[in-house]
Amino acid sequence: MEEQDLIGLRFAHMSREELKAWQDERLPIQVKQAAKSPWYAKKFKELGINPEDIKSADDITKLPFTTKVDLRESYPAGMLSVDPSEIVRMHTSSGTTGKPTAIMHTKQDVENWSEIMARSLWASGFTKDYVFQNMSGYGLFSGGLGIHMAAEKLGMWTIPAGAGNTQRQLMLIRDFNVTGVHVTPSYFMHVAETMIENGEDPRSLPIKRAICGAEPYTEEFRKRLEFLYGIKVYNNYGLSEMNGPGVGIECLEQNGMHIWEDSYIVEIIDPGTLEPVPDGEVGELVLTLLRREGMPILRYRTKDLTYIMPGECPCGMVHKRIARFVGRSDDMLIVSGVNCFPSQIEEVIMKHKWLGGNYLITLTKENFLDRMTIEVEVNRNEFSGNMDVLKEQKAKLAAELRDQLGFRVIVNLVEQGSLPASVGKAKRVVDKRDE
Amino acid sequence: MYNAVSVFMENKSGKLAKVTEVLAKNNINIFMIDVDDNGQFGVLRVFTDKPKEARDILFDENFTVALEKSVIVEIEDKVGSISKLFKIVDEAGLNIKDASGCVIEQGSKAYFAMRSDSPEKLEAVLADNGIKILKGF
Repeated sequence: MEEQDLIGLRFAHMSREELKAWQDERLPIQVKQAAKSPWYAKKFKELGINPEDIKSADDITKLPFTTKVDLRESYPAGMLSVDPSEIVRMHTSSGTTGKPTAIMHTKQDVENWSEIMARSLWASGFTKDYVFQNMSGYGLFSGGLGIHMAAEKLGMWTIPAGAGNTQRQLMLIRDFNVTGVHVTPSYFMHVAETMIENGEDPRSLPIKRAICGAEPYTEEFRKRLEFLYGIKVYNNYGLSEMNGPGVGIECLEQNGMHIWEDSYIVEIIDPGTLEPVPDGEVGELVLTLLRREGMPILRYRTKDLTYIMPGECPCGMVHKRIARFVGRSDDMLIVSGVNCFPSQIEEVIMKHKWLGGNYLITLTKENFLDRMTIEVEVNRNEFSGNMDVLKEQKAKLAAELRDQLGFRVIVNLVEQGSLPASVGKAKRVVDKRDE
Repeated sequence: MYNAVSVFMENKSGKLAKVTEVLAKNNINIFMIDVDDNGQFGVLRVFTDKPKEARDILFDENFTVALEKSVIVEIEDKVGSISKLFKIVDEAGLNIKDASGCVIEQGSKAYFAMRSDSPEKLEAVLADNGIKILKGF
């Protein structure tokens, strides 16, 4: 008897040709399904698109883009393609920017999503033998239930710890010998710092492997987490519009995130011209769902800036890899006419061991000029006690930031613990220029 | 070598009071204090007869604190004492970055603390010239 393929390993091991054939078959079905929703029906009519004309994955360029604004306009149920009685689950986007949007799933949608998320956990090296603590908020946020059901599907002992309450998290990890966690990088750093504060070594925990996602963070930040805990940390990318976690996942190579192409068509476009850019070139990630019946979304503009990594991954899977995000077109800061991303600043800060992980960027206006102030915490465990050393360290940091950003910033050193603690998504930028 | 207790602090009101309050509560006697202020932040140096203990107490109270090598000498509280001291330092070709002092007994005893890039050498030169060096008690 054939073993049941609960996590869709048949898709994981597909060749490029097999994936293409699958996408050619799926896209026309998906477009017809989308046309059943009032919103897409109207849109297709306006644009003169006949769903019957979409015959293969290559025809995707004939389809319109869908944006966050479209999702808001169609709120609450304009994009539903099934009878509401078929819906079993709803999540909202985390509202990183602006008002949240609602995403609805049928029973089959939930199955498909948990399949690809479980497959993602598998790709990152988790097995059924792990005891897995989900340190992510449950509720409307898709990172809670999304990860939870996938962890169960993979067969792991799954602990729905939720976010926050660090002492309880640590108690559960120790008492139940937790070997795997899902957590936001900023909260994971907070837990490590709390332990070190209390004279404990994060390496003493039984954790062997973590997946981190839900907020942007740099490679340096990841390396620091891996060093502090003595474990491997794998990146996971998702957005509720595209189900949630499990859209992009790192394999054991930790070099770019594979996107499961049986479930998504990946495009990278120039956000200005909306034309596709070649592999290796930075642009906006655009995703099309291939396996959703309740609320299909076509050519969704994620606002996340990345590029397709050319070449084959040594892991053997041909699913396309996207590189670490360069930023979000939304997150981009324009300071005195110069574009920059908070991630560039974090990258510099993380190279300095004498600094803690927390930082806050404040933008103000003085005499009509933009001014950026970066507050960073001095790492209590690395303090030299010497003012001259501190001055040198600060000057070096300021010079590196200036080189990185192309303009001068004010660096303020603050005591550890004085910046807002980061539980969940960390607030790193305060823009006071309109005040 | 003597250890000063260096505390990093943001330039905000109440910070000095907090440090000295914690030390007082823990029965740590402070005989001298100096503040190295850099505008937005500063380093407070506390001189006490129990530097290691003071460091641990402040660390446990979440201060950013470390011990820093310093040379402390005991001199006579009279005209010319400091001048004599600096003459020795000068003749040895040594450089002092900052210094502070305090009178312990009016008319007879004063402490004088100096920071240098080469504290070991400074201490040796002063000792060779018969200056009384304070060791960590």
